[in-house]
Amino acid sequence: MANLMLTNRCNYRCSYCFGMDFMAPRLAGKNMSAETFESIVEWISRTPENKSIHLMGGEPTLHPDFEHIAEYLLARDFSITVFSNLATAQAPVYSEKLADLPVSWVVNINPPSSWNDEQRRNIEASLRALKHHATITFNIIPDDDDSDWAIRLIEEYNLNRSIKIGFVLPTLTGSNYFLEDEDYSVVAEKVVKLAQEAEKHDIRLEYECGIPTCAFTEEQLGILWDTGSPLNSGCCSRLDISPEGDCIYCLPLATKEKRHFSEFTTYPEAKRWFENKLNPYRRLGRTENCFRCTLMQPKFCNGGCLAKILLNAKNI
Amino acid sequence: MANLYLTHRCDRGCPFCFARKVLKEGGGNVDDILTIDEIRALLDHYPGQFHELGILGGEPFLYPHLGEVLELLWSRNITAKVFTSATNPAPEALNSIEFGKNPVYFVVNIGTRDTYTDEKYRNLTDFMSRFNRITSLSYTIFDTEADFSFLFDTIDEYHLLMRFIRVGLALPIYRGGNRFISSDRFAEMGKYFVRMAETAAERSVSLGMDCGFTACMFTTREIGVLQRSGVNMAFDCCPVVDIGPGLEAWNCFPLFRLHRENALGTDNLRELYRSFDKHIGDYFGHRAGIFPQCADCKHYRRRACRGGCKSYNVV
Repeated sequence: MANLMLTNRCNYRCSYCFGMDFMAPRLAGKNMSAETFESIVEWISRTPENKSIHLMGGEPTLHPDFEHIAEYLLARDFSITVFSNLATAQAPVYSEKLADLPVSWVVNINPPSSWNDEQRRNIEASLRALKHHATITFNIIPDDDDSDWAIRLIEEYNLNRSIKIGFVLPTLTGSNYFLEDEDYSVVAEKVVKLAQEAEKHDIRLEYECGIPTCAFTEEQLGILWDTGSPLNSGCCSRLDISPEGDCIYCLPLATKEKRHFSEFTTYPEAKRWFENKLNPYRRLGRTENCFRCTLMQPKFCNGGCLAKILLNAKNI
Repeated sequence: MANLYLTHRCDRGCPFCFARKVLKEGGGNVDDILTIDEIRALLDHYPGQFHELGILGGEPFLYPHLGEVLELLWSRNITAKVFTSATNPAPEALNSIEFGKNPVYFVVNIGTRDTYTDEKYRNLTDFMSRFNRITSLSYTIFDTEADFSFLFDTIDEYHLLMRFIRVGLALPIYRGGNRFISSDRFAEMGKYFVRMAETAAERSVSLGMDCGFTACMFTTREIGVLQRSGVNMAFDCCPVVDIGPGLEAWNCFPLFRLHRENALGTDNLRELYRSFDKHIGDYFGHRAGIFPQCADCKHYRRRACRGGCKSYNVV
């Protein structure tokens, strides 16, 4: 259930990136070594039911041994999900080679209008190879006029008929572009419009973590359910493990706590340690309404993104 | 998930009760019980396949060996979820329950104050005071005019830690016999449930939906209200197998008359569930849900709504 950050390098410099405090160029660029990778896999394998690994970065296809890493995990019966922007020169090559293997791709994608020629070539070639193995994910921001490009890409390349939607979350240092509380209702309206359009194409929305339920009106929540894209709020983490083997709870909280994986016997023990450390902060609530809200529970909204909760509290 | 139906005996007389027919239809008498040996045989037959078992009746507190049943389940690492009216003195065996150690919790099927004698009500409140750490409430709607505020008052008064109410609909028993909410009153029912959910949210209580609710009971906005109110939305018809005296198994109380079979007649639980699915599927054929429009309903096609309780199909 872990996210392996194979590298902290990325070919993009997205202003909204909530990982930027943990990535090059802010930190020295590093790739996960073979030794560290194999030790982490052995550590994860101590929990036999953990058979799912996310490969991410930075941009994971920039890791020079990406193909070998994927093969290594497949040979050990792990199910792999790769989080990639597909815009690197290597992405079409790996997409072609891995297309017929049980590998899912979550494609972090910016609007096509922002692609340069080389990025366009690489993304299109990769999507052509991956087809339904690829699921598009992107952040909706208040200034976007059009989010339907995601639907057009799904139709054109016969991608998985699901779109993962994110609200732009903050880093704890507030160094990235992120949604202010007053932006939430604007973005919520765009999400609802996208869900309505997506339904016409038999496409469903899914949601990244940290989206608070109260961003939506009751009517909007009802529409999302009605269109087959019911909102699931919440803030839950798979631990991210850096190229050096440091565990963090999630990228927005990267500067809060980090511990080397070898300090824990198993992955669940590490996860519990982070939860025990961080969960008490949730009681701060993102807004004062959180204190009165019945959704302030782990299985529901729980106040949305913990980094946003902490950042709001810091500003107070 | 399965339920052990321990005894026919019950001291309540709820007009909507699904279980009323079980005794008469089963051909047994009121003293028939699911014996400890039968339960042991069941657990031996499906080793490691039960993680949680519902305990119900009738009234489990009137079953003479409840403590032994709990001990047996705990020895197999099975959590017991006991559905009770708690209107009888709690069995002695419950005195030895260690909170947080023994895997057991109680769901009290509760009614309005006027449905209890003073003595029964005293038993109920005594129980909730003693077991408030492992007790939640369950309520069946059959009167959409009824005042539901007592549910939340009860949770507060007895400091129930599990601030959750499982809400069911009064469903019909196949071929009649009980009081239920007719399908032409579903919209009215939906509005009642939404009012209940809004109050629950104000009182910091979560509601869960038992099976039989349909999406079309609610408007789009009402669905949003339910989500905002923290309701575990489920428009399901996903029967849990009940296993009663003589190890007779049936799919659910409303469809009790349709098909029953020996609980030990299959090699694994999945086969048992499949067997019920098949019999019920054969009976109802390709009928989608309980309304003609279910067949064309997008929520039904997406399996977001199962089209209501099948027992309405034969009312």
